[in-house]
Amino acid sequence: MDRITPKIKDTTPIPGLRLVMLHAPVSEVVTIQGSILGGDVFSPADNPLLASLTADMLDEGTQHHSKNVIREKLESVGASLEFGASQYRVWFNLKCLKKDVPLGIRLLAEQLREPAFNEADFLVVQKRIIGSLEQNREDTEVQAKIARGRLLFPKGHPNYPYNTHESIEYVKKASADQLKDFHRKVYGLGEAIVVAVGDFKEDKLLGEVEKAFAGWRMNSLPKSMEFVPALPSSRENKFITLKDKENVDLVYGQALGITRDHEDFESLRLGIRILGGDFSSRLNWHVRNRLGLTYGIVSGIGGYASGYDGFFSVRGIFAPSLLGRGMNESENQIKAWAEHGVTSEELGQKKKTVAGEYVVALETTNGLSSAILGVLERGKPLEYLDEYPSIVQAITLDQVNSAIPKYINSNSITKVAAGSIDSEGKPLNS
Amino acid sequence: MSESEHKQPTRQTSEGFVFVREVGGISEYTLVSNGLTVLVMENHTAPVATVMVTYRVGSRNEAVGYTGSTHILEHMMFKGSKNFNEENGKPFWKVIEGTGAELNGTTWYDRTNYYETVPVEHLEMAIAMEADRMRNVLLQKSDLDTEMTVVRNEYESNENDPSDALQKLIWSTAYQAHPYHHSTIGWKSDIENTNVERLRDFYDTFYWPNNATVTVLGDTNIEAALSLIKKYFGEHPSSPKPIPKMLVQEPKQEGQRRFIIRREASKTMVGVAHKTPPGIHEDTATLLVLVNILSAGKGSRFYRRFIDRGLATAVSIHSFPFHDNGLFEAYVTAAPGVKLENLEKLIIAEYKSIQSKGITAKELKRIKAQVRASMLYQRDGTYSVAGEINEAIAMGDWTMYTRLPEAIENVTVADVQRVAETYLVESQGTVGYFIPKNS
Repeated sequence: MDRITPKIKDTTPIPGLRLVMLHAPVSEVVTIQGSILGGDVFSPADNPLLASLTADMLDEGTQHHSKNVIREKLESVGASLEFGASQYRVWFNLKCLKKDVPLGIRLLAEQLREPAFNEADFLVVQKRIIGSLEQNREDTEVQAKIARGRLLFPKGHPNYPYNTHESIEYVKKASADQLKDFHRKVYGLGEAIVVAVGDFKEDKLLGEVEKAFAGWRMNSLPKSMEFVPALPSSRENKFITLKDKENVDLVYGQALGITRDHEDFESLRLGIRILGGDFSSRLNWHVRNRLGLTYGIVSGIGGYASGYDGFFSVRGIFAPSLLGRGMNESENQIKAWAEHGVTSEELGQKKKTVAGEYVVALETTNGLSSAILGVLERGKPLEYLDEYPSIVQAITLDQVNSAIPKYINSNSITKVAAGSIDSEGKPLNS
Repeated sequence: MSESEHKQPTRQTSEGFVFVREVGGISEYTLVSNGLTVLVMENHTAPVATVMVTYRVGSRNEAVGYTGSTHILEHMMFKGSKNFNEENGKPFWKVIEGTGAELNGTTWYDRTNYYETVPVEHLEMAIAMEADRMRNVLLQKSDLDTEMTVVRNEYESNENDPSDALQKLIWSTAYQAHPYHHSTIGWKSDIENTNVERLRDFYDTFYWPNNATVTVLGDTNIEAALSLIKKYFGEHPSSPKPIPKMLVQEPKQEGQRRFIIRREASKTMVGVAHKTPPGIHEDTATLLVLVNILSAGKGSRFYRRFIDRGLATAVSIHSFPFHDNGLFEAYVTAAPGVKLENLEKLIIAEYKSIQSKGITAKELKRIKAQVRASMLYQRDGTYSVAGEINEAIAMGDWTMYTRLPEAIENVTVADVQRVAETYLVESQGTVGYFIPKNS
């Protein structure tokens, strides 16, 4: 594959905003992604959901246009513009045709800079979010993952999840005025990133970005923050009873204590990929393909994407009657992997997979812009885009097999299952 | 279809193929030796290609007692074929995943498809593997014994979702005789009682070149793609017997049908569905416009009526164009404290409003702009075009991929009012409630 970096135009049209542009040979289509600081970790201590609620209100109207006017402007040209909050950043994603880039950028800036926070609109959004949270009470996957997160991380760590009841209470106590105040104090330029990929004129797009964001306040939020460490690993089991569920969600976890910038991270990630990252990985091959116990079981690293110390994760689904066997077989695989590592053949195969996947992932404007934004949010140079495949190819068997036992102890992995099972994990009615 | 697309084929015919037509930049050929339909389009935006094989068989071809067979067979197609299997050290998944491919297989009412999006240097391997399993799948009992429980677990995980349970019962209530009555995954007991002999019979009836379309899109040229297709798929003969037709017609519905599901859950939902004509019917384009006016984006009527007013946490409407008749389906998930009876009344009120007052020219213009934009968005990458073609093949005519958007351009405000009056009528409706047991 040709190198991407030489084709990228990296600019700073106004202080505090980095605009990165890549022309892609796709007719008329433009994808613009980006982010500013203002994610969950910036929420005040008395309401950790305030950042997410603020982002949820960005497309509910501005000081100049009602939400319906904005929707009409975008939808009448087939464009879409979405916002959301991650742990550290507020993200946005604009998709439009070449002719509509000026409109899209103007609305993007207006919604980020001058949201209305109308009280009546907030009450509707608040009710809707509470309704969705209420619906999660019976969701086996959501409840298993919340319980696991709380066993791995203490309150105050970005990966600590609030339970459904707590989340509802936080949403209830928020007000439109609090969101307005949070927005006024937190949102702004400084670490703003805009990535545009597709069919556009660079100078014109740059001019639109400059015009739309000029004069916005600079924020002074920290680039990184310190948090309490993860909880010590422990072999805790938790079984959550939810009636009338044909399927059980089973999750395992162990806090890793390292971030994605640690020198062991990519080696560990490749090792975890060999355990359960795709269909031909060990867990799927054994537990699904050979034994037929599950429709799917997958392993990975969670909670690291915003730059925090993440956790080793395995998730599988099982019929209640097959859960016991599913747990035994999954745990045997994890144990053998953690204690004996991976083989040279497995590593070679997975490196080829990762190299090919990279080419396929960069096929679309969305894939390219996501990859570029990811690199910039990490604070890596753009060249990392082209270097990443060779970084993975250079990982040795020794590095992988040293990293696995260093961070994964199969004797102290946390396990949670949720579904129609009793407090010992046995099927209900058996 | 534009005038130019009606012209007689002028393209140079590749050896072994007959050029059929070119529509929307996609060229259609037939492999003369076995009747295989081939669709190819060059796309040089990235060094990537997508291969998709669509078999014109789906759960509509299943009979009582064997529901879910098409889907289980789809799973078994990944368990090994003559040249790609675990015994010879080349298991399908491991070989193809080793290329970095995005791949999968899916089954629906009218079709089964298998696809790989690969770095273009692996295009030949993807074609070779698809050709091998077209006629040389292994179908071993030992594999089925373990795969049956995998599929059953897929069924179980779907059942955890109230939306899935509600939609399944909407279809099986609306369609009594036609095989759309059962969902593609089948009934649980049929999944558990499936057997290799039945799957083999099904495979030997439907998996033939003359019942399939191979689509190749990406960074290759047409001649090269045709050459590879001929090399691998050309090995197979056409089916020894004609592909059987499914002739069941749904009897006329004579009044609204209703049901309630009560289950431990925390989601309360209503579903309202009405019968629609086959996908290739002239009203399909107008029905798709109507769907979009009601539910596409936050400016749509349903979003504003239900979500913006705090009455619902989610709304969705679809009217998938199928080979045979379909359903115009609306699902609304109630916000806390909102009664399903009220939501149902509001859904019907919105339908009646369109039946009596029609839609605005502005609404129609918005939908047409969205459709035009979405056609361009689909050209971003190779998979999305292949995916859309796949569903058009299922309808019975792959050119519906471009003809439907063209037909949408010609839809009028009056057309939308007329189809609302024609199809959204109580006697052809099915209404279902999903109510948590503890509420």
